[in-house]
Amino acid sequence: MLQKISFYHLLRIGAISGLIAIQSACTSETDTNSTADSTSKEGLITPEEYYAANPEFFETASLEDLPADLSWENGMDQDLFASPEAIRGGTLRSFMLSFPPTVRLVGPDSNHSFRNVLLDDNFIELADRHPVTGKFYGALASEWAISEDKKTVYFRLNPDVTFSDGESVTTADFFYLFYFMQSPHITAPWYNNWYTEEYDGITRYDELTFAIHLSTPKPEPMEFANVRPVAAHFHGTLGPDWVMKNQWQFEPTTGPYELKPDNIRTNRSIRMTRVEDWWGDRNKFYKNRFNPESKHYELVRDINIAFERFKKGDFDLFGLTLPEYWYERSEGVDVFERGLIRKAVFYNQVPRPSIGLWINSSQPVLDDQNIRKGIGYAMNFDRVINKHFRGDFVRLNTSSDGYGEFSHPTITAREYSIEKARDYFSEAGYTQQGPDGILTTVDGKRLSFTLAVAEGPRADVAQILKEEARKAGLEINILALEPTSFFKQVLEKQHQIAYSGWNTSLPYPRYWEGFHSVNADRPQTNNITNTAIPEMDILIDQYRDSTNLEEKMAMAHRLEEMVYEDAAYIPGATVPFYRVGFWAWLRFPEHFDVRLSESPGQYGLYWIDPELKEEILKERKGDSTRPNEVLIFDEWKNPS
Amino acid sequence: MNPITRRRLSRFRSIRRGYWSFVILVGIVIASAFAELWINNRALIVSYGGKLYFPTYGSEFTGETFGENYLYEADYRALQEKFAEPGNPNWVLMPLIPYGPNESVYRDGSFPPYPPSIVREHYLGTDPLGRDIVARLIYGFRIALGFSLALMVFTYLLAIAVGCAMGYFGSWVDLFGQRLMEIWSNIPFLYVVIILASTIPPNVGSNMRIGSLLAVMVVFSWVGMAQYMRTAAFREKTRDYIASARVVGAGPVRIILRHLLPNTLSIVVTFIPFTVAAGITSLTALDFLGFGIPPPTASWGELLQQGTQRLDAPWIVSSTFFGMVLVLVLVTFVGEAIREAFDPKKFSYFR
Repeated sequence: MLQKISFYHLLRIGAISGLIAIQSACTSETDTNSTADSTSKEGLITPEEYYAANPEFFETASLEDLPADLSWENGMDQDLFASPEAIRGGTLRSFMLSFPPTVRLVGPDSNHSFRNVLLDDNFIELADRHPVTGKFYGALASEWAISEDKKTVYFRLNPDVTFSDGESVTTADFFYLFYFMQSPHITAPWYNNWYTEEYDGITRYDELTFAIHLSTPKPEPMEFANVRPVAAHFHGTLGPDWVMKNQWQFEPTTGPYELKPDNIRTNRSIRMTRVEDWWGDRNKFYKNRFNPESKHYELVRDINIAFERFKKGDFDLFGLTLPEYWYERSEGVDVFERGLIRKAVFYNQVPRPSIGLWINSSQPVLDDQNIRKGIGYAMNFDRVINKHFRGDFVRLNTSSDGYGEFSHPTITAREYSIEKARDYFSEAGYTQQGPDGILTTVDGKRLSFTLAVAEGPRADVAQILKEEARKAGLEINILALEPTSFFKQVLEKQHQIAYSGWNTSLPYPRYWEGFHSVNADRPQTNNITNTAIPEMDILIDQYRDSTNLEEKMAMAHRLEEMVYEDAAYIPGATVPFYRVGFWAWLRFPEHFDVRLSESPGQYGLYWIDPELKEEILKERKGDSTRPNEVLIFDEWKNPS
Repeated sequence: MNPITRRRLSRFRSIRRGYWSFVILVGIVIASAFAELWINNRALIVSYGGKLYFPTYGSEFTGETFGENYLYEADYRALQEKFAEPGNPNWVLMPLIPYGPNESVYRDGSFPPYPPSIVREHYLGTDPLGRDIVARLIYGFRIALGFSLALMVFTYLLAIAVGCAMGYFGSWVDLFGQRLMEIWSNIPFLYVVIILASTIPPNVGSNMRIGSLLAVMVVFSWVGMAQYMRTAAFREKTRDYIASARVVGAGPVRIILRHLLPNTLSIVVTFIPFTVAAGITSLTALDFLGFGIPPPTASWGELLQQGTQRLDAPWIVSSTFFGMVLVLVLVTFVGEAIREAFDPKKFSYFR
């Protein structure tokens, strides 16, 4: 008889295979450790030995050696963005959809979805970008100075700054950063490479004064020189056991919240607590931020259940960016109607991830520019945006939207046009229409491509694109893959067309990774279009080396035109805002959030109003109502 | 037809629950086999310019055929509306449910999933992409059933061949076969499916994908049936009629096919309905987990997945749930009846 496969059966197998995967991961880890162990059995390299062995990287000088003509800045004259009304205290209750595999900040498995709570939105670096002006202000460093050649940045640390365990942050912790990040024991090749390639060294002047040297001049050196300290006293000499030993150890942080071992309840919850007497409370720009005394994250594996519990009042806020939550699932719901839960939409201005279709231009047929342009005109993103995303989303126009002046001012993405698409296809030789409505060449080759996509919401979009592309005589076969195998396929450049996107970051767009020929036709690079255009290479190289902002901007625009002309990237849809629902006792500043914010928690500007909370909890049982209109903050909305 | 089979069939007919389930099931199967005729966005008949067109099967007609100015497939619902204007001699006859299984329909001013509506002819509503649930259920059922039948046929061929050979030849064939089956049944099926799903090259069409899924499932599901067939063959081979056949000089192939198989057939027949039901659930489960049939092909697993994600649109999950329960209950009733009708303890007879 056929083995009957029930859901439970499958789930059980799933659970078991998960376990096996973990086990095998563990074994491989111990394997590598043991080999590393045998090579460095005698003595691990202490930080001091490492510094001594690399004197050209780790330099020591005295204060007299500090150039005299430096102009020190601190950015403290910028406007406040936190609300002075904020009240400290309370616990923010939230959820996570999966439990982090580790609380280490680097190393295997550390790039998980909870990382921003532990690291990105928590750790404070030397300086911080003002989220409205985009200019730096002093954080750990009380001031800094940039050298004439834009290769070196000098820092003076604020003597008041301490780690969460009370130890002062000194120059030693920045020396240690490089020892740490260059060490093979952290098993983080990307960091190893970055901290070796991008930096030329660090010079110590005294306990609180040092300079970081970049390997190449940058138009905005602070972007690269602004690093975080790693607590030397905590990690000490690194060894092969570091990864395993620190799996559930949260290292001392300079940020407002720490994670104590007692507050990790495996597969249940994580509670971040406020650092006692945090140094940031005495800094102009950190005052009145990170207001809850603790933040509690409960594991809820199903988003539907999380949403029900949010409505019940178990969680303080819930992201409502997806249209179904913003509309059907919250409209007419009692707690929303009565204004106990408020809805807010906040328009931000951040570099948009370059989501869209990436055409592999080294595949046969797709190497024809006419075909690529035709596909560009055959993709009905307008329908996706207006019907599927209900007109809330906007079309991306270039591969670098949201960079302000660096984004190209006039290029718009190819619109949906059956006629133009068919014109380009016929120019490429696809002139006949088969009985199934798909175009063919004279010798019968069909115009058919595979669109790879990760399972989930994007597969839905792909189905709409497929149906609409048929009207232009183009057949799209959807290949919906489990996300990991999707990325594997794309990074190995085996796709024909991939629906994907890269996260982008300030301060200016990057072209080398995605469009330079050195990255074409090689696995594991970001050039997933396999673009290789000699003129573009030359310009990209010049662009990378340029330190003049004006010139760089012009080059970025020229490069974006080339990307458009090459037509291997079809811009998709993006959200110009975030939407959130929150219980009315959660309060936000007057402007709600700041220009560069991507989620309400990112800059920690909200606070819990204890009196209001008590009041609302009492009211909840009755049928009283509060103001319930949707809060719209479109101060930073683009006019387009 | 030999008298014993006739008696079994009449016994089956007399088990009313099973018999009527069978009739209903056959009705559903036939209806779904001709789903294009009653659930489709292509018209049944178009009368245009004095000529009749039958777009349901065969190659598609472009909009130009009917005087529209587009080159892609005609939008028959729009044509119907246009032709319905007074004074227009042309007409369009649409199927009962005028939506295709992969067609997203969006209405102005509101967004899917749309609740069931008789006026809109979405009798069970739509899914979150605006596709008709009835269409997806019926087309999905057809695929699941076809898949499941193919799976059963191939599985049984393999299982019967291996099982009979082991039982009939015994000795080392049996010993070797048993060990093979033990090892084989310990290979985790889901792993193989996951590996398969991630290694198929991107340019492979969806038919090939379904084919390879079928192959993997066949390869992993013959073991159970082969065990039964082995036991049956063992039992039968010691009977006198086999010995007589041997004495007359019949070869092993003839004995197995002509004598042994017909006498073990009741086992096979009894298992068929349950195997088909198991096939449908397996495919649905795999689809639910995302390892099944590639989108946008209609599938019950995908519907269930959408339904559990969108509990605010209860018509998705409830339609699918009731559809599945209905089919599985019918199949189970049929299976029970067959088992009872073919029970060897009731009528037995050796050739």
